[in-house]
Amino acid sequence: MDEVRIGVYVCHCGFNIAGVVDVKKVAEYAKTLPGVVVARDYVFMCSEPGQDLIKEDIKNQNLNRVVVASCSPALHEITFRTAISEAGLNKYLLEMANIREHCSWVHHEKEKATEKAMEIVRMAVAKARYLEPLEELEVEAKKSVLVLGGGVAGIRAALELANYGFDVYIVEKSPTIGGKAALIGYIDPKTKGAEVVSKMVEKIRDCPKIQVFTSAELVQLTGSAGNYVAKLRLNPRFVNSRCTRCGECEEVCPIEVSNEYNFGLDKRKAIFIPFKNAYPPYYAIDYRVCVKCGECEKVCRYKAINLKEEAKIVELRVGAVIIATGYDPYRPFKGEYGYGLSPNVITLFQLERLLDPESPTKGELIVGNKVPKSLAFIQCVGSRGTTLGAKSYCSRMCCTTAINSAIKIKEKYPEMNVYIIYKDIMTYGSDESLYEEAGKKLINFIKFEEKIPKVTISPEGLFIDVFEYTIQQEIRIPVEAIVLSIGMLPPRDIEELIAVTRVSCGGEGFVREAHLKLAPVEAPTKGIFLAGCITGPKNILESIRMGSAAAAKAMSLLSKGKITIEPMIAQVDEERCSGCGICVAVCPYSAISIKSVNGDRIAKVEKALCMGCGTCNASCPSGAMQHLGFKDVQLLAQTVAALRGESYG
Amino acid sequence: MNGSVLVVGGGVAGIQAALDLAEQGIEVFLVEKAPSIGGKMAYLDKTFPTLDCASCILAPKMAAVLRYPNIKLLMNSEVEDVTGRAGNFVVRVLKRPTYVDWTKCNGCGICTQKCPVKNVPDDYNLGLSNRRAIYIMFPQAVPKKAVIDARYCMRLNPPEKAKKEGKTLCGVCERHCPTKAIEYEQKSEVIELKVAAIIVATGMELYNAKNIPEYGYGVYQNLYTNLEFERLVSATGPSGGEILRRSDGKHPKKIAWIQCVGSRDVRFNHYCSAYCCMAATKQAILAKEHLPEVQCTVYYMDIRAFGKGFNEFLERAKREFGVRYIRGKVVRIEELADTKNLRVVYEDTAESYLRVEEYDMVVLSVAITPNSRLPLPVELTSDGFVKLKDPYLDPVSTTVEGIFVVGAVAGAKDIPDSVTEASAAAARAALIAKRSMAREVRVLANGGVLNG
Ligand SMILES: Cc1cc2nc3c(=O)[nH]c(=O)nc-3n(C[C@H](O)[C@H](O)[C@H](O)COP(=O)(O)OP(=O)(O)OC[C@H]3O[C@@H](n4cnc5c(N)ncnc54)[C@H](O)[C@@H]3O)c2cc1C
Ligand code: SF4
Ligand code: SF4
Repeated sequence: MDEVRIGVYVCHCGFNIAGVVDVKKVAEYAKTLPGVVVARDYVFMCSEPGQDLIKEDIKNQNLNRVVVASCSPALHEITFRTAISEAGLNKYLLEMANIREHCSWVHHEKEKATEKAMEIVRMAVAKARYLEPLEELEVEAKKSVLVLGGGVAGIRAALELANYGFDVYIVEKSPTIGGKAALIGYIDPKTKGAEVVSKMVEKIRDCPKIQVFTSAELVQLTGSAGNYVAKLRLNPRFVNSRCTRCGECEEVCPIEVSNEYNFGLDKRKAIFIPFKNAYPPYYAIDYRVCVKCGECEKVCRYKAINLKEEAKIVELRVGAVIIATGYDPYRPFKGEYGYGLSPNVITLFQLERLLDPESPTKGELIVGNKVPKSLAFIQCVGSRGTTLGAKSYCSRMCCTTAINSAIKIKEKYPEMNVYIIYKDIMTYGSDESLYEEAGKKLINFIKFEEKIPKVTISPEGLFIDVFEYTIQQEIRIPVEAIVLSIGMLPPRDIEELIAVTRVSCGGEGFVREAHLKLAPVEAPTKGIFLAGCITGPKNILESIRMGSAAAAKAMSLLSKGKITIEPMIAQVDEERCSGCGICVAVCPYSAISIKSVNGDRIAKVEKALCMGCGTCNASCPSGAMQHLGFKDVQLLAQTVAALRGESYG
Repeated sequence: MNGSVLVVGGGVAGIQAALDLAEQGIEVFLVEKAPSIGGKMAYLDKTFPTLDCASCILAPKMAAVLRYPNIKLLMNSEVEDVTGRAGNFVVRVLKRPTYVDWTKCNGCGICTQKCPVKNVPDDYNLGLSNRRAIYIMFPQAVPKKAVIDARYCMRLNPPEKAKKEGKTLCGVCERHCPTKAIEYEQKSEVIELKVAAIIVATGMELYNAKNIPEYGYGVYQNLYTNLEFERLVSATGPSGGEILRRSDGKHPKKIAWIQCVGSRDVRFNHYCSAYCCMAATKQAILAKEHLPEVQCTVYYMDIRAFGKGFNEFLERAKREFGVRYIRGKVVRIEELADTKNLRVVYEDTAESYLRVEEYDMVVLSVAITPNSRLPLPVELTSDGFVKLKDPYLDPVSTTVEGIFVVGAVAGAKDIPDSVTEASAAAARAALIAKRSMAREVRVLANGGVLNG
């Protein structure tokens, strides 16, 4: 090692540090430490004159290590790294000593705080002696993105990315894109869900940069930011683009199942079109229920059906992945508020279908077998810890959706008695206008708290017993129909998503963001972005905006065609490695593999995959795995300096 | 070359937009009215629902703004006029004098210790404490530069007598400034910018609670707005984080929060401000953390706990911290002459009864109003928020092509939603900027002739 020449720079941070810590004393003390050739204090090290002090010393005093004692590295590490590299030093030859957040901000006694600051500086200097120059790596980045999920958030993201000139692949599990928004009658008083979705889908159809894979699943994701390899399984649709939607096949298909696109309000065949504006606009065969009788194949005049079609595996190379796989509606259990026991108890999603002019009832609100004279919504079904087994969170969209539908109902059937039985009405922001409007339309709002409403199904009809909070009285409401405002659940297959993409979940079961407040569309893993309800309940507009934002972030990451990788990652000392493979097992990012080098088994770190978490270093029994920037020698020196006081080195 | 973007407003939304644009290599002009960026978030102590320290998570973003040489900060400035269209806007920015040469000021703060005028209400603490006539907006200000408040400066605005006699007074800051940065002669400047796109991120202000006569804000001493309370609990606040009553400097024993003050009220604003239920919940928890004995009560109409982690946060406030929630509309507040305690008269909707309860501190959860009165040709909604062209198909565009809107000025919202929109708009604006740049390059290559 060359002679170590360290410069120590103690910042006052105005009075933030200097008000509590005797900065002059700290700087004087630093001069006495081994390897230190210069130590200074200054009012703001991060200011231009402050940085200039450091730069000049590097040049004039031949410094080869720099310690800055100031604030948290989260704030200014990059600032000082840039400064020393401008003076010709490798930017990783910098060590920060945090004497603000870790010292002056949390202590009052000046003497002791000063002593602590001196110790922090001593530790930093001790580590700095062993710092090594490191180089950032650059990898090529593909300008293409995989969008997982073809709901509004995914579609928005895809359109946005195509607009930025990226190649986009939408991977959708079902036979059509559009998601659940396409199934909602009215998403606001003037807008039909199906209309908005069709407009978005039209743009997808016309865009050569976007390729849509329906009936497809992501089964494997390898690689890292800039260079992912996505393996898709394309499940057979059995119907190709020669289909003219004549519908003859549907007539002859003998299999009938509950139609999930109408939330079970009617039945569909095994060969079906999900909804009117489904895309791609061909029939599809539900392989899970098809018995391969061959009737449809026989009747199709256009040779559009091939029952022998098999699943295919496709590999795509993409720079980033946007996860937009949405949510599942809450599934009420049988008997929850009478659900499943009476045809007159339906869910909010079923109601939305009924209100859609394209519905099985052509937009007529027929529940059971007639238009009810009175109808009650029960809110928070499955949400806000209302009933046993309900989720703890608020599902965010159900109050507004229920009120919006109630208004639509009142417009169409002014005589109908409509009740909304709720805990709190969540019409936040400008959606409050809907709540106001509902009041004007004489919709009855009934509030409950802890005691949940009880639904009785009797020969005389349906009754809801509810303890009305505002009058503190038990009341009984006879109604002809009940709508359960069910909330949102994380998608059923979220476990598979986690297994394939290695995202993680919060306690409520939705995917966790890199930072709940300030990085809401990024996953903790670089190159993976999040949009829509996969991170938690949201309404359509919020999901769409997240789609735009996730696309923007992906674009920003990949637009230069290159990605830099922090050099503070794991490195193997091949001499020491015994090839035991413990590190391979513990690495959460699958970045390590065992290779044979001249017949010896040796661990190898894939640099682009390593996130620098340090798990492997801690578990390596032979000390062969080292974390650059946090090597054992560096940390030991720091620890010894902390424990032994002056007599280290 | 016209490949730059103007961001108006330096709150968390504007900062995020500027950073995302800068990362793309786009030149950004960030115009901010105040002497520091940060917006409302810089006033907050902690943020719901995680109780993250607001300045700790915001400060790194603010510091990052300084690291990009392609972000040009225009502080103490406002947009005066915009002409032209997408790809080619001409913007006139009025830059007000700071009376300090910011290229020289290093933010040491000596002047703010020496200035003899000590009784200037500190805007950052919303008048709950005083500062000098020359000041740095707050400790983590970015940029961290001094400003003279000319209204109070003895040199710039001397008393009538001195003016008549033609005397020059004071000059203390000039004498003490180690970098000779003080410039009493500084004048307003008008700066003309050419930009390809504009992002509006001017955020919100609190509604003026004095407009609500029955609550007595501005008259009663121990009545605060929620933003004032935010300063009161903050370590950088007027009392270093001690919750003390204005009237006698004592710790309160019973605090009430009153929700929907100016929101959801046909007399003032129809909309729900969306942040205040959770802000009150957060503040009640913070009060309990500071003063474990204090009793906290929230008067509400509906508790709006709609976001990720919000309902769990509310439940925590109830169960773990014993915060009491009473569903009821507060009709009136009265101050007791002797103790300066406050009597809250409310309709307890649980019993349809008018009730009275005494508190020694009351916090008003005040509505927000958008800072949308701007010299920009954008349309507004009936509530005064900047209108979106088509929220479903074009999520962050205003009715004017090339002008985007993000954050609270486009509708009441919290921090994550503001940040999300900012990133979305930044990418859109970047695209316009790049295209406009490419077009100019083509024109130049063609000897100045535009062809397609
Ligand atoms: C008391 C209170 C507590 C809150 N607590 C939380 C919380 O815990 N968690 C949470 O998520 N949210 C909270 N919020 C909401 C949060 O503050 C906002 O969502 C967020 O700050 C909005 O950011 P913004 O950038 O859109 O606006 P702002 O923060 O208002 O920023 C706008 C910026 O634009 C500037 N500006 C205004 N007009 C002009 C002009 N004409 N020219 C140039 N510049 C201009 C302003 O000076 C300001 O810097 C709280 C709000 C309040 C009031
Ligand atoms: S939005 Fe309304 S109905 Fe839905 S969970 Fe929240 S409070 Fe309950
Ligand atoms: S968030 Fe709560 S306090 Fe604020 S306006 Fe809406 S309902 Fe009222």
